[in-house]
Amino acid sequence: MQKLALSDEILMNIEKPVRYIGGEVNSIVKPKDQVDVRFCMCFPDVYEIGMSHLGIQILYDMFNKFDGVWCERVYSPWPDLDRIMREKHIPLFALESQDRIKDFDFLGITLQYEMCYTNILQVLDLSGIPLIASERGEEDPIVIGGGPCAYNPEPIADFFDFFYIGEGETVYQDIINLYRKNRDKGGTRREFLEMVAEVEGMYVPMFYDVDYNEDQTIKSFTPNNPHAPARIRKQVEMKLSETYYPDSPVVPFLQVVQDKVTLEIQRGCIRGCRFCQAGMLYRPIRERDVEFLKQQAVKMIKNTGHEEITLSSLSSSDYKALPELVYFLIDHFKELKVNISLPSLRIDAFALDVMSKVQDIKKSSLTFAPEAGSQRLRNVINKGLTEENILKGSMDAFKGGWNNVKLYFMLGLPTETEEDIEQIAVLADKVAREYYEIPKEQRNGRVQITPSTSFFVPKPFTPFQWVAMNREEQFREKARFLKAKVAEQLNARSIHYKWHDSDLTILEGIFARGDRRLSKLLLNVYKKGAIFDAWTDQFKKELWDKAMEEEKVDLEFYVFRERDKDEIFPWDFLDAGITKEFLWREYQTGLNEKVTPNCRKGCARCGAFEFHGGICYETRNVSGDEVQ
Amino acid sequence: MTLRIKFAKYGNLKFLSHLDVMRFFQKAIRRAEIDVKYSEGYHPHQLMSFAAPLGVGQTSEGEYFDLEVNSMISTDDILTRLDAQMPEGFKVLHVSLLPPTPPQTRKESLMALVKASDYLVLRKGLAHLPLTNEEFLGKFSEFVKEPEILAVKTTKVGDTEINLAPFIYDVKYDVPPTELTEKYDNGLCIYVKLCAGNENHIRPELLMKAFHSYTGIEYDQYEYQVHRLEAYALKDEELIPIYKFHE
Ligand code: SF4
Repeated sequence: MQKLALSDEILMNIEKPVRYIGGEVNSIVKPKDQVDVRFCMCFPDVYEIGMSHLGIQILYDMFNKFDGVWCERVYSPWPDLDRIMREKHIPLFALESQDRIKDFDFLGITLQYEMCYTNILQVLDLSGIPLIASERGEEDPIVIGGGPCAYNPEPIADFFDFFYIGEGETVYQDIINLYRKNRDKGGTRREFLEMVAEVEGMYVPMFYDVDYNEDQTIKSFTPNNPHAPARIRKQVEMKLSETYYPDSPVVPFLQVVQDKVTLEIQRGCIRGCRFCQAGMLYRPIRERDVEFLKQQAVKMIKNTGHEEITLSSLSSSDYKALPELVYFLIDHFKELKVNISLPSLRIDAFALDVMSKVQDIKKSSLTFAPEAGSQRLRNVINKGLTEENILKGSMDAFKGGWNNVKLYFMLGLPTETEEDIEQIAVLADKVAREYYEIPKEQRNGRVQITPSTSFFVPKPFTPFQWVAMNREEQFREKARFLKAKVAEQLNARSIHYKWHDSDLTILEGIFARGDRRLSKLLLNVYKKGAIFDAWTDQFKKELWDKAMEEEKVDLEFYVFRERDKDEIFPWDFLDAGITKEFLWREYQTGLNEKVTPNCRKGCARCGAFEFHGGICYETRNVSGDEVQ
Repeated sequence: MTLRIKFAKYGNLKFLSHLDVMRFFQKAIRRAEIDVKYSEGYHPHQLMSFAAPLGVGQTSEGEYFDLEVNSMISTDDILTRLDAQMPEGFKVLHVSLLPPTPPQTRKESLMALVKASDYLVLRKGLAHLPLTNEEFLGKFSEFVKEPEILAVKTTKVGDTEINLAPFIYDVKYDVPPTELTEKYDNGLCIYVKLCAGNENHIRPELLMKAFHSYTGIEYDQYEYQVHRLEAYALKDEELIPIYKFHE
């Protein structure tokens, strides 16, 4: 049995010691004498969050299939253990071997949301790895960043040796081989990074210099090393049915957030909602083969013993073989009592049929995400859902026995007026009225409509990357306004409006479109004691306010200003397929309240055609040179 | 059909809570493809019930749960298949088939059946302890012979003082640690049989705490590792290990 890094005494004095002991079913332990590369995969949040993430499970499985590579996991120690480790100088360790992270060859950190940035520093610090990449020695692990936030890596650029831009399935084996090659010839850390810089998709921040204009915007962004390319194109896996996918994901002992099998049915999205970063970044849409998914579902349920399976994608209804897949799962898993959950389904006859088969109608709710209250604003954001869709879908569902509707909206979208906000309340009321159209004796109790709003944060690589974000006061004012409008509705008593506060929204806004100079802010606030900022009970606003004041971070510059068409953005050197011209065109089309058809209806010439596959080749009968 | 399953929880998995253990077995049973019986309704659950929960941090080779199944090949087959799903830290030790409950009688609960438990209390032999192992043994053997051993038991309704003496059924000093107990250089192993069950459930920690107040030496829970060996039911005035109860 693996000797634990923490003593019984420590483990018995912290919350949920199981977070730190490893040994889970399907976790992988390799004999050390058959391993020459040690990789530690980190999700910089608490175990229960990190273990719920599919991407990590895919990469964990992939790395461990590589000969001679042993991939282990680490998550952020919760503040109770964090305190003890600092006090007693206990170095951070990987779960499987319980060995110190500092002795690993690689530490790969996944970047899923901006508010985990201080936890990256926590992980490095507790591991005893210098926080700043340029200060690391030959003995330190190579620190890699990846995941959605790597599409604007600049605010955390100083802390990483390199970023892997794009999908992990493609070139990690090459990188490991380069590492071995460099080690065999006695090469230095710097020499290895120079080799890495030549691999498509790899960004080594220290090989680039940034110059600024007087108005603080970027003047130039240029390589300072002959091995580093000026532009870096993302990695895309075009063969999603032939690549790595775990048959046997790790099964946690603890109850984690997603305690189920996750089946990623496709990657990318055809819809082109203009606020949605994922919908732009992961183009083109690529479906996994339905037979592959069926086999995978059966294997994963068998090997984990999970009692639930969920389909994951940005918009499941767009998966062409969805009925075939879902009816197969329902049939196959009926006897085994496996629950099937289907997030992000468009409400139609098929969805209602499936939902009535897989869930308790009385306890479940319908979900719509119109994102904006008025058709005008929905056109601006290119959200194809119409009022008619929502009312018809609701009516069908009410007739089927549902009486609980959730509606998701955003406040602070570009061009938004009071009228648009009021329409949120009106739409909620219309849904309720629809319910009361049903004769009383056929109704199923009271109807419950829950509209909720989040605040809009402009993200890189979206048509709204140029826009100014709302101020905190504006957000609060809008939420209050909407609350009052909801109260005025005929069915106000059936409508329960929910909204979240905006402290984190502004910070998210800073980092989402921030530049390299923000690393000073992160270092400062981390040294003041900020970690786990994404957790409301851990978030310390005073520390952030103080650090921002000390580092003279100008919110007007980072968050509240409209950017010029030709401004050089911190992420412009990355090529995510979609072109800046396309994004600008989409922005202007949005301002003109015009919709752009989805990829299946017609190609909008976004640039992702360059990857030669997926939807782009289904809809256009053209040769590659016709692009743009 | 009701199966009674005996298992061990040891090593690093001693940190799992009772809830974690239940969830673990639910998944293990599914992986083992046992034809388990489910409750009705939209959220069916496996029909299983556990005996007295073990404290977090304690190890055991005397844990039990009952499981309802629709069919099986044999109890041996269940044992082999379920044990194949155990990671290091769990072990399936015994599977028996319970006789059918006669009609009109209520099914006896496993929890209510337990009347006593055997434990090994391992003194870790840490260097800083005030008593040497010899001194410790001397004092402890005097202590357990006291006619009255007072201890404060904390329950939901408040603290009550009880006399442990009648509930200490046996103490031995020559029972060796087993394969599944934690190993300590210079450690010491004491065997105790204590009353268990709904009314007077005596945890070994309570006994050790009472010993410390007897000696006047401050109690440090990390001085000891508790390992449960077996749980017993009462049959014809005699304590029988739970797994033999229906034989
Ligand atoms: S190139 Fe056309 S079809 Fe391909 S992702 Fe872009 S818009 Fe869609």
